[in-house]
Amino acid sequence: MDHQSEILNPTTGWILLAILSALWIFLGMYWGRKAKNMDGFMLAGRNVGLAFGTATAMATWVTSNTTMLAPQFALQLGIWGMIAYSTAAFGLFLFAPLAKRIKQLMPKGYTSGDFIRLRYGKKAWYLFLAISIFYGFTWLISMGMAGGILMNALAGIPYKMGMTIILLVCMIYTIFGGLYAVIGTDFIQSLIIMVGIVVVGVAVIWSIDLDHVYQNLTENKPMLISVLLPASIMAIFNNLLFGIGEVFHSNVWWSRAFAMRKGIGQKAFTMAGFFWIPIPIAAGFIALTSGSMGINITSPDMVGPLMAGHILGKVGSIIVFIVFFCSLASSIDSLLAATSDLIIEDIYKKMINRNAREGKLRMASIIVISGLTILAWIICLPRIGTLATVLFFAGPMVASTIYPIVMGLFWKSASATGAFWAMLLGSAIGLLAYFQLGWYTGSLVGAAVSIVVTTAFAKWNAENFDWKKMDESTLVNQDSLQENLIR
Amino acid sequence: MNFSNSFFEMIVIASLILMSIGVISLLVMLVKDIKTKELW
Repeated sequence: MDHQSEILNPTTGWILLAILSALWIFLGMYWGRKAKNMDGFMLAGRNVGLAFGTATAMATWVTSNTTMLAPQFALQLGIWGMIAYSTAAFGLFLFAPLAKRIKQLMPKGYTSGDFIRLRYGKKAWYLFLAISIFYGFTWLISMGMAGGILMNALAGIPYKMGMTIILLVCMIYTIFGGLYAVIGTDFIQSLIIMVGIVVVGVAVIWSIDLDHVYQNLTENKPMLISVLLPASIMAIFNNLLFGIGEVFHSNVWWSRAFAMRKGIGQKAFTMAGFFWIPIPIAAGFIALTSGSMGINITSPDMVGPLMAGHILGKVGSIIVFIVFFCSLASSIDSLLAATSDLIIEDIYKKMINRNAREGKLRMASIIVISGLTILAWIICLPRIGTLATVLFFAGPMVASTIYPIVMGLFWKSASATGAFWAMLLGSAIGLLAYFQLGWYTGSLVGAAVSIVVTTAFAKWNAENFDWKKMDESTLVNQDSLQENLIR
Repeated sequence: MNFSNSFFEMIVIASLILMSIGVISLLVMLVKDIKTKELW
């Protein structure tokens, strides 16, 4: 990827990197002291309140892709591009009632894999785990790569150093504090991200007349303000479905639903959606002002940092560096924690060592988090692909999981065979569309195929599912009771 | 057919206002959760 020269001198960059790394590790370890058992480590004691719940949902959804790709969308797809990216907030809005239902059905659940296993059985569970772990790991790699690219572009820190440090910092505090550390740091990170973007946005409005920006777009790039730009309209639906699919299936969000106190999940996810929806618009409009300011953009994903540096000078560059670091850390720590939970709970505990006790599970978590970090680091080393490619490749697969999850949560008639074929065919045909028609159709096709297949099976091969089977804690208790009676 | 200038201005300003409200709300919720000992 070609980038314009860095906007911050390397010494300042290294100092900022050192301060932020030390701060997150200290806070993560401090909050992590509360994680005294696996419920604490994996789910922050299942008692997270509204403030931390809202902030963690919002901060995790703000990735470097939000702050880099939203301006790129605006530059390439115009006003629709900004709006298209902000539709990803519907993932949070629509997950809100699901969070309530999840807590109601599975008060002692651990992962999204638990849900698929209990609701649809083993065949669908294996496929879901493959999709979910692939997606989580792809997201982790894209964040690691983004970390290296950003540190290099913003402050001239070598790519390998920047990428290594951000992965290492997140690994350390996640290992020590689990979800307590992740949620605690997410709160501060969400405040920093929002304040940073508001400061830069207000500075841009202060220094340039929005009428002039609009006039400039009308004269030089009229397509960007066109209501009828076909690719942009397609991107809206694709992004909407991709966003919903990402949130609905991913253990990153399910673990938060399990972690929040009863009655908090729905409110927290709804508010997080409201606080997230303006971020791509605020970040995107900054990109649209670049033409009026006479800034030549050779690397569209770096337009935000360039504009901040141009308007606010060194202060702006420092703000952008901190915002990017926070947006990366808030996603990487969540991905490490949630993907490790999925591997520990669904693979290690359910397939390999069913009798593993707390100490062994905690040790296994440390090994898995370290292993995931090392694997991601190795793949990130050669600096492959662009952010958009890595991000959208998983789109069709996650979009194919939306309908089986929603139907499985609310309708007794959803069938296990239907869920399996919906995810398999949705992924396969969606990927075909991704390669044959374009990236902006993959999620759309994946979700559509999945809806048709799930609905068809529910109609012609309906099940009458017993919701009591979802609460594994009562099933385990019943099993123990029966065993005792037999004895 | 183009988006109007006023629509462009409106979504930009609304987004900045909504984010400011977000920051204030999070701080208010934090204080409330600390007071009621319901942080986590």
